[in-house]
Amino acid sequence: MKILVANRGEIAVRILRSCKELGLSSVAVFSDVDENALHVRSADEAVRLGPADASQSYLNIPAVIAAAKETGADAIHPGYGFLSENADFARAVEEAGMIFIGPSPEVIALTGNKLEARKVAQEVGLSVLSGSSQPIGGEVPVELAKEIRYPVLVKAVSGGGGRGIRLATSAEQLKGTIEAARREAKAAFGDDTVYLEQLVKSARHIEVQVLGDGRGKVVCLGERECSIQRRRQKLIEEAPVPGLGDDLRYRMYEDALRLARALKYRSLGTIEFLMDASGDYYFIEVNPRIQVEHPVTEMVTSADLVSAQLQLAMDGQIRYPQEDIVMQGWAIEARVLAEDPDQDFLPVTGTIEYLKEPGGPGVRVDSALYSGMSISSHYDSLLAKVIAWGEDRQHALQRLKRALGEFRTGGISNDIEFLIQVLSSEKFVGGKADTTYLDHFQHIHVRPEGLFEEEVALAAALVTHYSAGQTTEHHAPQASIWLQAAWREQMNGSE
Amino acid sequence: MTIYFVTVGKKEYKVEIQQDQFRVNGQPFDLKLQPLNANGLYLIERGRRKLEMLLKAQNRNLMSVMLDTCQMTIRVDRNSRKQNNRAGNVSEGSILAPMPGVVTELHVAEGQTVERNQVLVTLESMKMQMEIRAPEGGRVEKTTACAGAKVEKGSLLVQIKPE
Repeated sequence: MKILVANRGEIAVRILRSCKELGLSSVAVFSDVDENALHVRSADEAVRLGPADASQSYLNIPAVIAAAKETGADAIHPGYGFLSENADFARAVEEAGMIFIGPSPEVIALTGNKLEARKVAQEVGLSVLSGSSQPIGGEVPVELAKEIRYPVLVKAVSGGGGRGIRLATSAEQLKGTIEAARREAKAAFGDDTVYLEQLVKSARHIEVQVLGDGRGKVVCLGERECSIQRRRQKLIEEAPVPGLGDDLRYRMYEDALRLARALKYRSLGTIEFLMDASGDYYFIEVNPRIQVEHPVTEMVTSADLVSAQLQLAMDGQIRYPQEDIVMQGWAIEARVLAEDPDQDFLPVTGTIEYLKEPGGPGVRVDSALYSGMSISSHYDSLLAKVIAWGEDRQHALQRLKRALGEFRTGGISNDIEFLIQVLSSEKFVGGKADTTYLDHFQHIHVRPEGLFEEEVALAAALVTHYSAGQTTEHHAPQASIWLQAAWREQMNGSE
Repeated sequence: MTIYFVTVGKKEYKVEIQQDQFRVNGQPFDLKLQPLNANGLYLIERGRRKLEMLLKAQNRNLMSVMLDTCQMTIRVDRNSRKQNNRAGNVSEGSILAPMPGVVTELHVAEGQTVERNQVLVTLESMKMQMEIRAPEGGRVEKTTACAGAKVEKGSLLVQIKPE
């Protein structure tokens, strides 16, 4: 069997690793800027899709289908993002006679419509947040908003991944917020349908991992907490959920399984819930694909979720019977992003001049980085995911902080100092952080203080001095007199 | 002797180099710096502590530095005397792109008066939209970006004459 991976970056590398382990041939696809990317080098074959812009490459359905046909692929794995939640793509794959590794096009379409998904969840007995039962029409739903109580959320029906959500704090604001949400939704998802939903205060984001065979058999692979978010993007995730009693845990599993069975769910899916301070929880959405944070589940269950997807595509069987799935220990993941903490965490671009990824016991790094790699502004800013496993939460936390401290992405600034500060904060350590925690988190700028500033200043002056002195014609930084002198010193061991 | 002014964070250091004699802020300073590769990676040490340092020249007189887990951009001015205008050739009121990306919306027109914190340009980069705001109130003298335009880091977006 041959698998085409319709994605890039760390998730493409992750999927290709499972292909290799299962002895499956693989095809990578790439845009012009990714010609030499790691995922391209990890596959048996690689096909160019088009220019850097995602709409002309990784989102270009005809180009992906053509690449699959040209290489004789039997199945397509979409990864996350890009075409993974696109029902038209899933349909096109099936119409071309190939297997789409994911749910059926109908289920993708249904989960993509937040209002429809809510309706189905409600029908099978899940609690949902109070809100619209219909999309907002021409009239401003003043009465409904009053009933829900301000502040209310205006959400895009086609939204997802934390995008297309706006907050209205008063009746006066409602009309304007709806209009702004419509404009944003139209631009981002091509659909300006919006609806109202209650805002849960001090909410924690908890999700349940399921795997179904598409014929009604579904297993549950435990839960994750993803409350640590910035700008509605997850930053730190863990499994299991701290402080969640078994009663509540199994009720959530049952709810997730009931919904997945009702959908005759196929492949991997995540049922997302919000839990309030009193322990009441509400269904919010289904993510019909592999999640960025899947490694924490893999670390605690020892299951290989991607291989399970591939095997299901091959023989229609679920690899893990429910009774064999046991969570052991604790796993926490932190997302290392290309960002500048000095500039309000704006994404940065540039070249990775020096790379050192962490290792050691209980540590996993999922990345597609290599030394000399250029980080462009065309795609997202995720550099790597660092995941640590420990016997308990404290152990996992110590390991994760240790591992993050080892990470070097020289030439590209990152959020590691910030992550370590969050992981060390009292509220996180206590397992008490909610989804608004980072909105008020005070990041302390760590500088080498007076400590090494003089050394840095002198070193920078020296490097400038010697490179300016002699690199007018050719660039040979290693040839500078001063560097040679330094080498000599090193060899002689002299001071 | 060559003198450099190196700005690290908010502090400025005067570095004097005379053959293999160095002074920092007037004091003799000894530095052990071992190259680890030919790509700007060094081992820097003081006492028994050894740290990895990466020094990479960027455009103009900026240099990116990685020291242990810390990343920063520093400024090296080669000059026998201190320059008056440390901000370089960027004049006051120039609104520059903080990173490469695509202009999704230009919110102001030439001649328009803007207030402090008013959104001037929406820039999209790495799937994120960011609003570039006016640091001061003033009159828009020039706009050089239009919606859909690709811009590099440091490109002039809007020129404001402060009032």
